[in-house]
Amino acid sequence: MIEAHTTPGDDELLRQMLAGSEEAFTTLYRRRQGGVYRFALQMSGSTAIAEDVTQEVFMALMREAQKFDPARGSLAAYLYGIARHHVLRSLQKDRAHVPLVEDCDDGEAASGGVQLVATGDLLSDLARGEMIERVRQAVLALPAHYREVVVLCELHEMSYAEAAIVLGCAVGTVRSRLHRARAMLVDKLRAARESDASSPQVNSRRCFA
Amino acid sequence: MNCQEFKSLMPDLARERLMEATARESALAHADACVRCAAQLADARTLTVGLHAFAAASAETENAPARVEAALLAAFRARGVNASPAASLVQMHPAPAVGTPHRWMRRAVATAATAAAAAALLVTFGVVAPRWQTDAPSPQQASNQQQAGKQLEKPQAASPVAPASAVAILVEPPGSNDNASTPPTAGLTVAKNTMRHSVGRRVAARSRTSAVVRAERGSGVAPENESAASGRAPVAASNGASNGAAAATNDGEVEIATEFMPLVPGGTSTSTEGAQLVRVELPRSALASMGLPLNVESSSERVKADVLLGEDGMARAIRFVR
Repeated sequence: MIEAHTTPGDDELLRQMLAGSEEAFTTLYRRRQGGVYRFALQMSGSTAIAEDVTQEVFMALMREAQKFDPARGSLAAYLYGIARHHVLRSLQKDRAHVPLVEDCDDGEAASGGVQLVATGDLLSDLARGEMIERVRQAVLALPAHYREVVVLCELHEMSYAEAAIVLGCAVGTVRSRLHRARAMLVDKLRAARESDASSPQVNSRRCFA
Repeated sequence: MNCQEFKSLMPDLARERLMEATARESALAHADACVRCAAQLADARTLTVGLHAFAAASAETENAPARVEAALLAAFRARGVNASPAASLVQMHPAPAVGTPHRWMRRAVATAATAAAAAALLVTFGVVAPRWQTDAPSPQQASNQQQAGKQLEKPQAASPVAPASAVAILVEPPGSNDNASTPPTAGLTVAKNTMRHSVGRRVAARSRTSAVVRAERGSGVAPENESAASGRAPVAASNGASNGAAAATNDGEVEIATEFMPLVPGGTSTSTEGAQLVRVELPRSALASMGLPLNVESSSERVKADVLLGEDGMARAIRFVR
């Protein structure tokens, strides 16, 4: 006879953790640390910041678990919200990543409204590792408020509603920011691809031997 | 459907999100008819593939290191040992480059809880009053200072510490009670200046725990020989300090630390063999509970401290770091 093995949900683990169960805390941590860590890493590009943020998030959970209200969203969203707060504070402090793409208020792509016709696959001719790295750099180059919607919705596969809870904004805002962010990413990747394609050939006439 | 309408639906189309069936069909039909929109859709789909690959690669390789879990578990256990609110504010950080990473990892779980508990007890019972700058010295102190001059503090006679609880109380800051016949007071001396202004002496490079103590010892301080029973903190009162050697962290930042203050009798004379420094953070507001002046504007900030653990994992001394 097969016995059903039910894995405790986050809420149950949190309840047990508040009751002092180290096992529950450990289980909860191992279940959620990856998402929190990767969110911080993808937002900051820094493993040091990601590590600090992860620790801060779960320390905050230990201290203020009573503040979590399941009616307002999932525990994961709550943890991401804390992580976002710490990441943005770190970025504000370090200013390590200056956005290379300017924010456009008029809704047009950062290319200034010129809709370029793609001449080929954005990421063609790239090895998988190169492709991933190029995408990573493009994401890091986004302004923070666009980067976070890409990270949450695209990389962490959150719904618009969940991301809206994390970001503390309306679903429509998440949607419009994501659309704009994706347009920026396409522009960025296209520019990089065109830069690769137009790399100057060595012209022997210019060599001054 | 026109291009503008298609543009609004394109991201969901590219991400293959659930859409209204009629809207989806209209969008795809438009893409079939419009070369420009079809190209943009192709780019958007390629971007989606790239983002998914990025996410998958990240999920395979990127997780918080084991030391984060160890530190959190230590903090969780400390909260269970001492359920005071102050304890919950102690944040653990591994001492920078303590021994070899492998050796630190083996000891971190065993010692981190001890250090966390020690730091929590310090906050709870307010037993530590770092004293970096005192008032006008007493005649005894003045005499001692004349003898010592500005050189290294010499080994002094034992200054007994009157234990008043299970946690040893620092009754006299280093250097202030050199007369063994003078019974130490059971109270705490409030530093006149805040940590910001009453900076302790600079210590030698602290890249490794044992190396830290060796470096400080090499600068003229021999914790085992100096003031073994004086209750002083010879480690920081070193030539390295007087020479102005700055403590360099692994990140190259300069840190300034107070002298070590013993938590147990002879705490600063802990043998360096097996000794370990654990970096902890306390809320600055906790200093008020120690009787220290507190800058209200900075009360929400944290203050760093190093807890010196003996080979048995017991906290021996503490110093505050800026």
